[in-house]
Formats: sequence, C-alpha cells, structure tokens
Amino acid sequence: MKLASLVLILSLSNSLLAKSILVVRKASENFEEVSDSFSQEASEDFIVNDYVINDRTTYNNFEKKVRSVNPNALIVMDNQAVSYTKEYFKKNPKMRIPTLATMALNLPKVLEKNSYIAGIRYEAPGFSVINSYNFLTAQPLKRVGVFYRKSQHDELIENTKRQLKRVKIELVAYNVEKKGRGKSRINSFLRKKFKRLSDLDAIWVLADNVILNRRAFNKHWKPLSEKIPLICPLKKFVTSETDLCVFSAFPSHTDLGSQLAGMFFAVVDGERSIQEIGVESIIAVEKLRNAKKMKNFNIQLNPKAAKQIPVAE
Amino acid sequence: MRYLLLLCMMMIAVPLYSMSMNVFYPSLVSVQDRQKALLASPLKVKNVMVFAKFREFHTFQKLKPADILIIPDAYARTLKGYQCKNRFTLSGRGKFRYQILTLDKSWDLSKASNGILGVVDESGRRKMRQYLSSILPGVKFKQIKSVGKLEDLMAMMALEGANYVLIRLEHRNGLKAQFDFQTFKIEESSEVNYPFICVKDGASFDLSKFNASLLKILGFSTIEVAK
Repeated sequence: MKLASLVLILSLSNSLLAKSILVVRKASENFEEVSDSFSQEASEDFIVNDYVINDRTTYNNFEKKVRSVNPNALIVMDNQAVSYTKEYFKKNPKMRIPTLATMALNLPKVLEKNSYIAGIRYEAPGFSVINSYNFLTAQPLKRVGVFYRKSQHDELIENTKRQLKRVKIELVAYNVEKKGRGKSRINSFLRKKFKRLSDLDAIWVLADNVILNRRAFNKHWKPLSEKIPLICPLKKFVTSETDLCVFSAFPSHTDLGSQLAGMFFAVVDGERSIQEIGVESIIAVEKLRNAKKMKNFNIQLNPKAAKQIPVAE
Repeated sequence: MRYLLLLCMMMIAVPLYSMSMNVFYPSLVSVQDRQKALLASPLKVKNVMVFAKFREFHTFQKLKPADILIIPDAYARTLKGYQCKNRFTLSGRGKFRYQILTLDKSWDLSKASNGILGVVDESGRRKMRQYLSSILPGVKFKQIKSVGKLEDLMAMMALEGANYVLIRLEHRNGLKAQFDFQTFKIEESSEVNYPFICVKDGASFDLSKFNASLLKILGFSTIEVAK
C-alpha cells in the first residue's frame, strides 16, 4: 500500500513537472488536423493542450486560459489567435514564452520587429504553385503573371522571383496599388490591366482579400479565368463550385503540423532561436487540377504528373 | 512422431498465408503501385500496408506490428524483435552513399555548423540524428529538418528552407523533371544499406517469391544477404 502511494505521488509530481504547450486555434477541420499532427509529435515530451476559440472568444477569455494553463510554449493559428498573443505579450512582457504561429499571407508583416514569435506562412508558396503547374503541363511555362500589393507582399514577390528564376520561369509582377490603395483604385487597375495582358502563360492568384474583393472577383477575376489559365493557392478555387483556377496547390495540414513540430523542437533543443527562424514557407502541399478548364484551354498534360495530381470535384 | 511433424508443418504453413507486411522506405514509385504489386505477387502475404511517410508507418507498426517489414537502413539499425538479414540490391550493389547537395556552392561543409540539412524522415527525430552522426562522421549541422516525402525535400531546397539536402542519387535524378534546377554535390555519406526485409523473431519467410518484375516495381534488382 505504501509502495502504491509512493508510485502515485511520484507519477503526480511528474505530471505536475511536465512541460506543457498550449495550442490556440479556430474550430476548422484544417486547423484541427494541424493541431492533431503537431500533438502526435510533441506529446511524447510535452503535455499538449488544445484551446479552440471562436469569434465570441474575447481577449480576456484568452488571457485567462493562458494564465490557467501556464504553458512553456504557445502554438497559435490564424489571425485572432496571433493578435491576442501579441496583445498578451505586450501587456505582460515578463510572460513572453516561445511562440510559433501560422496564418495567411502577411504573417511576416504581422510579426515584424518581434523576437518572441516565429511562424509558418499559411499559404502554398508561389514557387510550389507555379513549379507544380509547370510540371503538370506538357508545354514549359516561360512567363507567369501575379497581381500583388507592394505595401504587403514586396518581400514575398522578390523571393518568389528569385526562386522561379532557377527553374527558368519569369514572374511578371503587377503592383495593384500603383494608382492608390483604395478598393476602387485597385479595381480600376485590375480592370484596365486585365484588358492589356499579353505573353503570359498563366497568372498566379494571391489569396488576398483586397485584391480578390467581391466586386473584383465577380467583375474582373471570373471573366479573366476564361481568357488565361489562373493558378491558385486555395483548394476551393479549383473546385467545380468556384471554378476559377485550372490548378491549385494548397497546404497539407498533416505535414504543416509536422513542420511546426520540427520548428518547435529546433527551439527547444537550442538549435535555433525564434529570431533566427523568423517566418518560413509551407513545404508540403497537396495539388488538384480542374480537368474541364484545362480542356477548355486545350492544355496538354505531362502524363507522369497527371497521374500524381488528382482532378478536383 | 508423425503428428509432431504434421504440427510443425502446420505451424510453418499457417503463418505464411496469414502473414502481414508493413512497408516504408523513401521511393519515387507511388504507394498505390507498390501496394498493388505486393498484393498481386506470389508472396501470398495477406495484409500488405505500404506507407508514404515514416510517421504513418511508425504509428501503424506500433498498433499492428507486422510479421514482415520492408524498411530503410536508418530504422533497421535500432529495430528490436526482428531479424534483418536480407537487403535489396540495385545494379549489383547492396549499399549506396547519400549525396549532400546544395543550391549554392559557397555552402561547403566548412559552413555546416551554421547550416540546415534537410532529410527525409526514416526513423523519427532522435534516431535520425544518431543515424546521421554515424553516416556523416565529424559533420555537425546547426539544424536537421525532416520532411515526409522525397518531393518535399527538393521543395524545401527550392524554397530556401535548407542549405543542404541529403538524397540518394537515383532519387535526385528521378526528380529532375519536377525540380529542374542545378544542384551541387558537396559531400557523400559513408556507405549505407538499401532497404532491408526484416522478419519477426521466430517467423520464416520465403524470399525466392520476390520475382524480377516485383523487384523492379519496388525499385530494386535483387535480394542478397547483408554482409
């Protein structure tokens, strides 16, 4: 009996001493997959707590949760969780703990000038989208266009240009803020530019709410999708429901969880600091092609690639 | 005596027809193609599971340990409860050397302690590190980054997420059409074995059933006793 009590006390004290991680995420299936995958890798050494938030979750709810769990590290997914974390660390500078984040396009901007949050940009990188499409088509791509906001995506575009140059593809970038940052100026730029596009094999579409605002989407992007192959970083854009793109490459959520875990252990094991890591690209992507649209454009496929890339439903 | 002989024969025969096989090794041949070939082969293995990524394999193997495993050298080195006596060969060789490739020639090995090495995970985070230390003696990288698939290894390099990648020459050549950029070989690993066929302690398995067409689909030429 004494021995049993001793074992119980020892195991309890072990669990109290064990280090913990708090994963903060929205209730989406995709983030759940990322969280499960991360936990699978990290749970051998850490207690992983999964905290699901929604639009009604206030900053105070978040702070209360962080204080009650008192984690050794945070994994935060999507804008709301990232924003609450930044606020928490601003209000509680002594409570700053290593944090890894994943959210869409402008994560580097959001994390600018901070030394306690690193992360992964939650979007298939331009190189992966364009190079995978290049592999799918029998005819090699030479020039691919992209519409971007210089104020937000400058670094992303420069990096992608450099990476694509290695595979002999030129990225032709159009800054939609050239005539101003307002929505009407941007839409006007898109309308005029779309009429004068030439010598482009495809257009890489950035998943940016400002560039793809509802009016621009219906009035400009949809008609453009009939004239030139659009290639996208979102699954929904290649499905028959939206039917915008000929091809999409999008995050593999299980692999994103593994990538986050790898990043996390690099910090824990002292291989790299949060500052050194900064913001990385998603490595593993899944791919889908829009067979109907590809046929309409008479795009010939590379049979080897076509075998590996399923048709979207 | 006759009954004892019969019993022994049954003990050998029954497991053969109900044997299970879990397969994981980095390959450019799809999981579906390998699984289909193994199931249709004369091996007569009842349950064959081929995995694309180590983690999926490892999770499944922990839940349902198979009688036969086809696994990479990295995993076989620390495997317990199995006999790993036979390995595949390719072009008459049972061993190969990994190449360390870089996009930027200036990243020679003298900079390894500041660089990131990308690898395909073949045995889990901790064991993979030990394995790398043994096949790349004296070389210490700042960080080892694992990916699940060969394709992701080249993507990691293209996206500048690693300064070096560790890859078999045949795999790099097989991915050239998909990742058509120049890479530079800066070093080779010591010799490592092609994947092993491991049999659970106490079980037996007839390797002669791996015929030439099956071996070709699996990506190899023959099977030999590992020396």
